[in-house]
Amino acid sequence: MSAISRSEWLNRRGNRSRLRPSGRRLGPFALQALGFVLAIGVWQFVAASKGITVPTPSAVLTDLRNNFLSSTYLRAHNLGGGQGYWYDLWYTAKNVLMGVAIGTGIGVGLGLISVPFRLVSQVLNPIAATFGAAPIFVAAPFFLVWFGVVPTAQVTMVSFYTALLLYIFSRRAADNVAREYVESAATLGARRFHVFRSVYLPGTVPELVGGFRIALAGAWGLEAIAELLGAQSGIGFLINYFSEVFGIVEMVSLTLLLGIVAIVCDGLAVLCARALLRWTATGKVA
Amino acid sequence: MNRIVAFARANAVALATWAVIIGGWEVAAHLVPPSQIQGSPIVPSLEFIWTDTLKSLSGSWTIHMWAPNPAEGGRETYLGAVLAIGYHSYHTLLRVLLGLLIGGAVGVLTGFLVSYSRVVRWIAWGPLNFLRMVPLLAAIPLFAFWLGANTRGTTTFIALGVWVLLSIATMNAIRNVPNYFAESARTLGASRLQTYLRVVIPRALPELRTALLLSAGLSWSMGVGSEYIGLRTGLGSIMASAEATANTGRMILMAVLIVGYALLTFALLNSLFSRMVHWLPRQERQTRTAAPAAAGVGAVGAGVAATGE
Amino acid sequence: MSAPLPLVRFDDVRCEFEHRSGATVHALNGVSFDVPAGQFVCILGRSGHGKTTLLRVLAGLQATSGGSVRVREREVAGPGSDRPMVFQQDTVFPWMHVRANVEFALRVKGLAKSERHAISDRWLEAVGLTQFAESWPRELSGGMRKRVALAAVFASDADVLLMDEPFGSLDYFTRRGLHDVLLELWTAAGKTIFFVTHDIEESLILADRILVMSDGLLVEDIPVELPRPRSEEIRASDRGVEITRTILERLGVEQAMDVSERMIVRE
Repeated sequence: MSAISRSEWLNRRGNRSRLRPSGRRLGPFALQALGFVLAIGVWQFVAASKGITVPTPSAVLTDLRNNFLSSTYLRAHNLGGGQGYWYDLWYTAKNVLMGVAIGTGIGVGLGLISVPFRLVSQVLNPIAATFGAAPIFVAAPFFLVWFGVVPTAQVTMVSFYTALLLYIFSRRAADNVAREYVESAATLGARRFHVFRSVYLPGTVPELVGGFRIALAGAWGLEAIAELLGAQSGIGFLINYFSEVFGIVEMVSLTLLLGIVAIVCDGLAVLCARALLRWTATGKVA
Repeated sequence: MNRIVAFARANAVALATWAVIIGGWEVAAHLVPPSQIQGSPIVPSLEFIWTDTLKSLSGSWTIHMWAPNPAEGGRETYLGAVLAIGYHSYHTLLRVLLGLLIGGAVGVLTGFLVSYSRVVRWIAWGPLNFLRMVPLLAAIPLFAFWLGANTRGTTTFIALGVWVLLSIATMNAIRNVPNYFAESARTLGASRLQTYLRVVIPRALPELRTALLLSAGLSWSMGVGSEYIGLRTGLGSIMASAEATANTGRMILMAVLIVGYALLTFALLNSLFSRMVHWLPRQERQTRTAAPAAAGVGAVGAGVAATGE
Repeated sequence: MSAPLPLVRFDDVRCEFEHRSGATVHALNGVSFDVPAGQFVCILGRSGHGKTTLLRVLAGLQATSGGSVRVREREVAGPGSDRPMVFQQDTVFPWMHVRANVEFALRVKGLAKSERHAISDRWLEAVGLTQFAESWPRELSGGMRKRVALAAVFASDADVLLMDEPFGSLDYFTRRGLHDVLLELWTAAGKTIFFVTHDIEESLILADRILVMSDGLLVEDIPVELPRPRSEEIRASDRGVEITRTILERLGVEQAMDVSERMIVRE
């Protein structure tokens, strides 16, 4: 007698082939944690042998602890908001998230609108193809000259980048929605807009989430570069400042901070996506 | 003649769009007043770019050969400009392509080596994933300090970024190989190593196309970005000095060049890759990837796109 | 005359999976049977009732949790070239020519090129693909690729050949053609074949013996002594129909039919 029903087992059939070397009974989580421990160990070793140029993990940790919430250094030199790292982190994050949100709306909107309205895609596709294939970074200096070094310019740039990416992704996702679903809906009597709403909209979500994560990840770098080039606040600005006074420890800790924030935001995105994707067979994103 | 007409008719809307954009640009160029700085227009018209801006580039040709040197009072010449462009293009291309090549080769190799053992793969997974989420573009000043603000340092920096991206992509590609391929080889008598080399790795290769193109985009972004921020040769550095003087004409020239080179890089990589996986059935081969360079700005792009995590 | 030693012996084989959720799935609940050399055995049953697990256990791809599986009196301890398998999916390696695919098992064993060529020539001819020897798999149709897979498995010269619903993804007419090819190969080589299917007609065409699996148990062991070749008339003979009915009843299909018949009568 089975403990779970056949159909349930068939649905969740994993791959328990003997070929999978089970190694020792260490699960993936334990191994990944081990990986981090080893990595930090390697870092410590490199830092110890390289002397001043590579700060040790503990030095970085100390710097973060001292300066994250409020920083006497920043206040003394009137940098950023004169607060702690969190202030500039917030500045950067705000721009990134706003830009990505706006860009996603525009990109996905245009991408999905182009499904029933072919003219839209005919106009936008050639533009997207050329600009999509170009390092977006090239546009950054233009934004600087045309708009100056204001948050609006940075948000605009991030939105442009995100909209471009998400337009391309939503077009591709729409094209990839399996014909069978569309045709099935059509033969059941759904007219164009119904098909759009009931088939294309939900069907493109998995790929869109993937595109969203890609755009989000890139947006951090884009925003940081924009700040590097001349902002008065933000992580990029701080990194630039410290690069001029040889504040290596600060540069490392700020970069790591940015990485952590990027990971956290990506994780949040995945969590939200899970809620939207409960219906997919694998529950996987994109 | 007929083919031109057919092409025009098929792409009528696209051509019309471009015509409108370029036309609009020209109109704006003549309508928007020139900026106060340098007398250079904010929106430079096409003729301006072709004449003044191009010639003025000859000032960047710092090796005193074959063309008069404006810095010492010589004329601005087209020849000088072309030489200047060639010189700086060479530097940029060298850094980007070399970084891409080295980082790519080492990355793929790393991915293959690490993925042989499941235990090793999981151990390496965490730190590598963390590294790829760190926006390397933000760390340009840091790496400029560590590796040096010169060609060697920049190339190493680019190689590093590409390495992270491609090793993760390779690990994912191997993970995605369906089990039945390896099992089939094993039941035919192949050992674990033989199966890995002859079956798993070839099967995983086609999935690397997206990651490869994203790496190209990433290396261009990192290369131009590094030049912009701290180097004295290369197209990015010219763009930086042009931006400092609001010389939009020169900025556009550089942008066009960079975009052109980048597109060429993608086309080249794409066709080389197609030749390598010529054994794939036709539909699978022509995967046009979305926005390789735009997505390449973030290293996670390849990871997510290549695997659908 | 004493019976020849069985080539394959399953002795009270059990197989359990530990599912991620903690539930235990009993895929095989104590299966025992003997198979002599040269027999064509079909393993038949509903999806998910243990047929594929049984085959994978024999292939060495799946560990048992009880009982023993012996081939030539030796316990099965992992996959090996003495028990090659044809999968339902398309496992012809697309990055190798057709010939290289057929020679794969031989290459792995270390045979010299000329030897390999002679063997692959023979089997390519047997499946009718001689002029495609240097082609890429992508140039072949699905049915042709299956023939390559069959040639590869027969070329390995193993005594026990395993097939997991190999023709399941092909259309009916291609499948019927491949039945002929397979039977020809089997007659020429005299191998022992284990063939998993859920198609009763297929098993009647191919098998010397049908093992019916239900819920991880062997519920019927049917010898099919019908004369070959198994034409439509022979399959429709009394014995053929009897076998079909037995299987349907055993797998719970006949009962449903009885109910509907009763309902119509009542009207």
